[in-house]
Amino acid sequence: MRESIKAPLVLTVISAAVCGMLAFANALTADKIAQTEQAALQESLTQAFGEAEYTALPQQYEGIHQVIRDTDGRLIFDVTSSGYEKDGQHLLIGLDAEGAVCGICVVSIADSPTQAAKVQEDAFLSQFLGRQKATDAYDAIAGATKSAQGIQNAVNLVLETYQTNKEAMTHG
Amino acid sequence: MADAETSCSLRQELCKGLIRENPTLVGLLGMCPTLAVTQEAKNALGMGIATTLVLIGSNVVISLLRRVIPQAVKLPCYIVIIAGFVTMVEFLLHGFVPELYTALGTFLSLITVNCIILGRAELFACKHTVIRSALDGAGMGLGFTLALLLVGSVRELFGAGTLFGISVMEQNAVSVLTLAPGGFFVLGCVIALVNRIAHREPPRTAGCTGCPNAATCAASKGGCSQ
Repeated sequence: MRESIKAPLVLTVISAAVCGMLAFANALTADKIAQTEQAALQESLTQAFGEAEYTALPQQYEGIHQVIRDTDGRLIFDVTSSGYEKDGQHLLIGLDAEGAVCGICVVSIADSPTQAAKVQEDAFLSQFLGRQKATDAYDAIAGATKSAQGIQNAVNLVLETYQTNKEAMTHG
Repeated sequence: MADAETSCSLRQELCKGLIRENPTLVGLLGMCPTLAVTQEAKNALGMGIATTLVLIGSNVVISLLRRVIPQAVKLPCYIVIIAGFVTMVEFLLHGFVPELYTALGTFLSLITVNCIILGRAELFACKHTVIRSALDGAGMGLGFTLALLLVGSVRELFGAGTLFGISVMEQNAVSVLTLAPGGFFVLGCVIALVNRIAHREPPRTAGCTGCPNAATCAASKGGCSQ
């Protein structure tokens, strides 16, 4: 067979075989990964916002996995954002009854361990507490610029979504 | 006699990566994960095991396909195969060891571009049988794990005063060892120690002398000069 045909054909066949193997591996582990993520989410909710009854709202909003309401009337937004890795930050952002940020919990973060540790420090996260409107102003972190930007973007997304859908969220 | 020679040679394939041709401490490959994930011995061990699994898998598959893969698309094929194994390891860690998956973060995906894996595929697996390639992958992976574990244990023990998370001497910890400069310092000391054990002298002349890959390289196409 001519080399100009054989080379791309072999690459295509190998890529297809690897895709098949990955689909099989995904089918085997998808349920376990979903269970693990659900357990981590529940644990993070309890750790960050205390023991309460959490109920997911039925409405779906763009860019947000789910909105959860607790028994105190707080809304907790389950979002992913992009730091150094696309969609690598899984965050829970809580808004109180006034629509101000009352807590941020990092469920998982796929950036490097050092960058992950830097953006989880209270000194960084506390600047977002009490914020009610989306803004571009925030204190970034040297050495974890994109990780910090990811969290800032997520907070802005949550506040914008809340402002747009306030009625449906609070009375829905 | 031939069987004994073969078995001895197979054992050599497995053992060469531990000290004599250790990819990290002698070949100085895979420095990025070596420095980045060795703040804790547990993470170092996890990264070592994950890389070993990928090394064995990719070496076996590349060796199986060595007569099929055309020269022109050799590297893209290797990368696709390696990336496939890395993603499978990611799935497994995410589902069954989520703490380690979180701790290794983006460095887990970066195993794909670890030069030890591509290096063994290019230098060894594409020229040798499946069994030899599997043993080479296992040996190199164990050598990498050993190096990471050594560096990680020293950094965690003297930098944080703990070992595998168990408090040992927290009062006397030197926290700079858990930071990047401490990583370079500990890695340098471990390399010096291994050189001492292996009685390696620095090369006195430039060229293949003293190069750990000289034998493999010369056997393939007459040396790195070609």
